[in-house]
Amino acid sequence: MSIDVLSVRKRQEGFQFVNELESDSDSDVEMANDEDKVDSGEVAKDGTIVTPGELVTDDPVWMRGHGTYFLENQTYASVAGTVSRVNRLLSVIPLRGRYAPETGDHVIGRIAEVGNRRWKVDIGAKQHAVLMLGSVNLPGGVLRRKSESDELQMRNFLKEGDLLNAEIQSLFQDGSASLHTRSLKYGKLRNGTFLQVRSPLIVRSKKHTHNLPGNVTVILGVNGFIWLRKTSKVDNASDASNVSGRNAATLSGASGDYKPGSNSVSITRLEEESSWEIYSDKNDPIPEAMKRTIARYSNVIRALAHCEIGITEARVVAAYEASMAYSHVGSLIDKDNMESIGQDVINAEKMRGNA
Amino acid sequence: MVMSLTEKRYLQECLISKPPLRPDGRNDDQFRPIEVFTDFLPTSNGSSKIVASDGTECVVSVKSKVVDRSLEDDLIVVDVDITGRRDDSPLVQEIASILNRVLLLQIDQEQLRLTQKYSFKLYIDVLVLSSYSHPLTLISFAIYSALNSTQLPTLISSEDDLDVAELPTFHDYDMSKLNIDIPIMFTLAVCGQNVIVDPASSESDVASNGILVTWCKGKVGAPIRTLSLNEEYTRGIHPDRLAESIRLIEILAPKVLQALDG
Repeated sequence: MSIDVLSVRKRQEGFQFVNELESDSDSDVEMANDEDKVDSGEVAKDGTIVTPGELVTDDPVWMRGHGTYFLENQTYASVAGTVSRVNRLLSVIPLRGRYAPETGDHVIGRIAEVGNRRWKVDIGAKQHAVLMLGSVNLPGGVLRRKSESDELQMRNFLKEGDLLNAEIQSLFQDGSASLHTRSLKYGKLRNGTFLQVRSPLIVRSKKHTHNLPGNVTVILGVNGFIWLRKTSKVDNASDASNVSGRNAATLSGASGDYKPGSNSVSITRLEEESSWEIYSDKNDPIPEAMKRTIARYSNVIRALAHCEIGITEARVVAAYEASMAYSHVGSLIDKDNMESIGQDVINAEKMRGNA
Repeated sequence: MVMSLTEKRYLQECLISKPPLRPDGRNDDQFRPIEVFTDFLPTSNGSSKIVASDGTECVVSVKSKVVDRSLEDDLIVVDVDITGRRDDSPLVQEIASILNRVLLLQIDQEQLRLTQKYSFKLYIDVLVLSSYSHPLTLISFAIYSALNSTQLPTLISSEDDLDVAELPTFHDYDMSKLNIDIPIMFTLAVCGQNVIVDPASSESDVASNGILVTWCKGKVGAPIRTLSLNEEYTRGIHPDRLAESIRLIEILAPKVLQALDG
């Protein structure tokens, strides 16, 4: 067999940190001293990289945003990151750190706790997000009132460990988020596999659900949680018509068991049963080849994350195509191969003039 | 890690198919890549740090002491500390007892003998900084690398000190390499009809059982035992799986040792 059973990297000379960059860091330091130094009355340029404690500006007219602190009329960075200037607001966006939710973000979360009329959802932020019973679509009804029996069977809808995708509806004072799943796009996740990358790597875009070649759909949660699944009819439908925000009335029509007239007739038992499907714990049959494709996608996304490349649909597809040079999916876990795929993606973008 | 039912079912289906489809596409006999750092702790005789690709990290230090052999029975002591686990938690105690017993059983204590009266006693401290999957394989690789990099002071006094009341004296700076046969341990997960090496945490969560196989002095040795990798799906194992895992390790172990030494 051509693949190594175990790839070992040895480092003998002294202690080294794993994440140490191989480039010589001397030149960076000099540059910071010579050119980027903040003179009096000036402000660090938009996008400049600053470290904690570094002077951003000593001009008091700037409003101080997140990631900065104020000492003796001078504004310093409190995190390592890039300077962002919006009008008069000066903030530093951290390079690493936990996901900071924003209203409208499409996220993936895992139920951490079932509570009184609400679920606590782990979305990788500082606090758990809240999903109210009133913010989900319940089986059998278009938009009906939540009754006491719904409260009692909350675990039948979503229980601890379940994954769902949702949108951030609003933020509370303390920065924790409130979610909703009131759209066909959102809800419990099935037929696939989960992986997690650092949240700043996900590039915010209009759409976060993408149908990829090979009948695989990826949901790139803004919080860095990613779900890869078999493309469903709903995915195809939303891709074809591109209607976002379908209302719940079309749900039973689109999710398979469509019976003519069932939409117009009042809630029948048949419809009630079929719409329980959205909370089903059963997977559809998935062919071997597709599982292999899903594994490959999950490895190339990890490779992109390893190379610190922002993850977009185009890059995932490009990386997937580049990974075809390696016939064995398992060889993609090797560091060298991951880096070469990342290099391929960057080169391809440079050739097209995007980078 | 908590997983949803659908994730678990998907994973189980993948792992029981023939050949198994692992979530990261590995072969059943493929390990995850690791990084090894050796000899970085200045105050210990030998040290190593291993980082696995999933972020599991393990530091091992070996320290030695000269002891009177008539007073000490066990010449190797292993101490295990896993971040986030209490010292009296079942996982830590299980791993510590396995390591202590394996090293005492498989390492010939004569190899640590210094003189007629005195011996080296090795203290092996294992610190798991972060663990995302069952850390035993990684710890065992780390101990292997640490012991392989261990340098002990060279003796300059006479070896025969039975009649003379003389304490062993050592060369000021000369060190000699510790030369012992070091056992390594492999964890395998049983999933249906398949046996897979180096299970990742998600794989461990759905495995029907775990098998520990020890390799020492060029052959599979004691102990061979089961490890419970999760509480939900653990079932008995078919003897064929046991035979299969031993066969697998017989093929793999020489390659792994070559990779660790090379």
